[in-house]
Amino acid sequence: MSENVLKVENVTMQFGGVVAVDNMSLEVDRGEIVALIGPNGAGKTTAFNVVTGVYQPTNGAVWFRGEKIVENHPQGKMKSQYKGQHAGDYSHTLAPTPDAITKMGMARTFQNIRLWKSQTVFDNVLIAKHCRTHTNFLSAALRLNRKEEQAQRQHVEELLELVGLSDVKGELATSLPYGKQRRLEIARALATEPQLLLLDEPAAGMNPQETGELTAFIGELRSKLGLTVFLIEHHMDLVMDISDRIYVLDFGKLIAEGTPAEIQNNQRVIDAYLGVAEDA
Amino acid sequence: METKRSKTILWSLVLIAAFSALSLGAESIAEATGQTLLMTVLKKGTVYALLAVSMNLLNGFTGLFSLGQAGFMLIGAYAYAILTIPVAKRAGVYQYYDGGIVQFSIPETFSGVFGDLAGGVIGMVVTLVICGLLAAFFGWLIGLPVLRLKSDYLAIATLGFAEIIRTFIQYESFAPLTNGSNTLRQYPTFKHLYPYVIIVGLCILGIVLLVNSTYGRAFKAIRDDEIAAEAMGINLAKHKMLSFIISSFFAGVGGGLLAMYMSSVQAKGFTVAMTYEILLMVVIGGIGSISGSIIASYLFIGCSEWWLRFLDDPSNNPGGLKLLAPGFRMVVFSVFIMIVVLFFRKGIMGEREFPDLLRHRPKKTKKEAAGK
Repeated sequence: MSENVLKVENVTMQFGGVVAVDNMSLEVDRGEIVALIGPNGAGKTTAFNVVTGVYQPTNGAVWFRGEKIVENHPQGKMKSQYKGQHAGDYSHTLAPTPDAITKMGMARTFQNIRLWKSQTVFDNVLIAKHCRTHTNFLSAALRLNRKEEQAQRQHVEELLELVGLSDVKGELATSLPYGKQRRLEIARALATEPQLLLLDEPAAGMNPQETGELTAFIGELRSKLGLTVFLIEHHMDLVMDISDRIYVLDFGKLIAEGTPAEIQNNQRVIDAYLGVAEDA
Repeated sequence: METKRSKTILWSLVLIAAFSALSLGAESIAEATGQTLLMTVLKKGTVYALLAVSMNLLNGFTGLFSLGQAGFMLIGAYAYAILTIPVAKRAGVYQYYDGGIVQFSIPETFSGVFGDLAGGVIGMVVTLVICGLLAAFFGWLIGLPVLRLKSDYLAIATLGFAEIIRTFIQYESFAPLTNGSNTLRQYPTFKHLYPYVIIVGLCILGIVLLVNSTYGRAFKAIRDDEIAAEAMGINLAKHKMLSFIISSFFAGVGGGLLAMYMSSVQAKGFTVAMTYEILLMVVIGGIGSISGSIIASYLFIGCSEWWLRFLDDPSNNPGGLKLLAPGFRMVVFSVFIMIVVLFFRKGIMGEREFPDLLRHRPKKTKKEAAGK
């Protein structure tokens, strides 16, 4: 097995008495496309939020490119309320903010589109480049960072070309049709120069044709940019088509892991999520 | 792109120069015709333009609803007065406190080096920068605890801090420094309009450049969607603080200019009402539009100081009506403001800037507009 980019280790996320993610461990290797699937409310987005730093896990650790980036253990009131496992295994608290994690090279998109509404398509992507600038605010205001700005604008043009939004770059982000907004979100995430891309239901609300295009596009991202992709999705065509491996989450617990073929034939997954075709 | 940008800066400088030349002209005309109110409006409007734009940077561009403006202005105004009152006049101003504890005057110090006129002006400008830096320092101090709050909570907290600053300045133990609740006066001021125009113009140019830089774009991203901004690597705490500090810096400079315009300052005057006045200008001009704030501040000051004055004069009363009386202009003024807010929901300029108006844009058909 090649080196892993992302390693989630015994992560439990408990909100009050509700265990949203229960002792989840998974690995994403460099260059892989890995999917996380499961029924609604299984805790998929919560898992993403833990990985990207939006939530601090109740217990467990997250490793990124061989470095421990997040770690926590039950504290305070949670000590007595904690229902998960591995309670004594972790003793440190490491909780970087989401922007710090993004700077390490992990970028995400959102399930419910979160573009900057008053900005143009071009500016949406350009703003995401801000985290890679090295100028301070004074030299930025005095326009001493022209070279950097120029390079950034150049890169944004390339990204928009890549996702096929060059022709609408001057329009307001919210005026785009839904499918294009999704692509713009991906372009924006790519602008932060990530190594690992987390896509939260990238095909939500897309028709079959758009889904097909997106599937091809995600494949392209890996081949062209050498990205590792970790995604949540409900469109099984897309998931089975491009994933190297799939994790299945149900009620916060991982119930299966394997290649698409293995998952499709896993009885537990079929019972919990995939179901059986009516004519079968 | 590059040449275009340096051209923008050049053009803005030319614009500032043109406006100051214009203000010289306006001044001589006003003097010749005895229109003192015009000069009042122009001077006060210019100072308020800076205050409104600095508030807009925070409220309109970063989306932080802060009501601490009067507090930072007060710091700037007091810093300016305390640091510039000529040493010889201090005994008179601080008559209850043995001439106060500050026994130097920055313009006088500079006058000793560069000669009376140049040194005085340099000293005043340097003091204005110090006013800004002091206000920025307090902005940082207040921002540490307060910027964790959001929307209305932030507004209340900053409002409280502004009041605390006002009370502290009037506090008896600080009186040798601040002259307690007595007025500070007899400090040097700019007699003409053009220095105000130049200083305010340069400050606003700085804000415009910042807003259009990568940091300004990050501020707008925070305003539009904080969660997305954070997920895209924008450090919320750092950028909110930066915006808060820069806004308080310019509020401090504006406060210093206001002190100059008023020629005497007293902490009592820097109440919440002052913040609301500036907030009104920002809202009327358009939240997120710098040119809107500038236009609105002149209109606002013009209305409140000049054009509606006749309504206050009982001798203008038609017939037996006892309608026109001192204070009536404020009633009419309030109605004006309501009309503006009702018919220009997003302010006079919305989120557009002045150059946007000159650019040709395809007109929306009524159907499209209704669909929005």
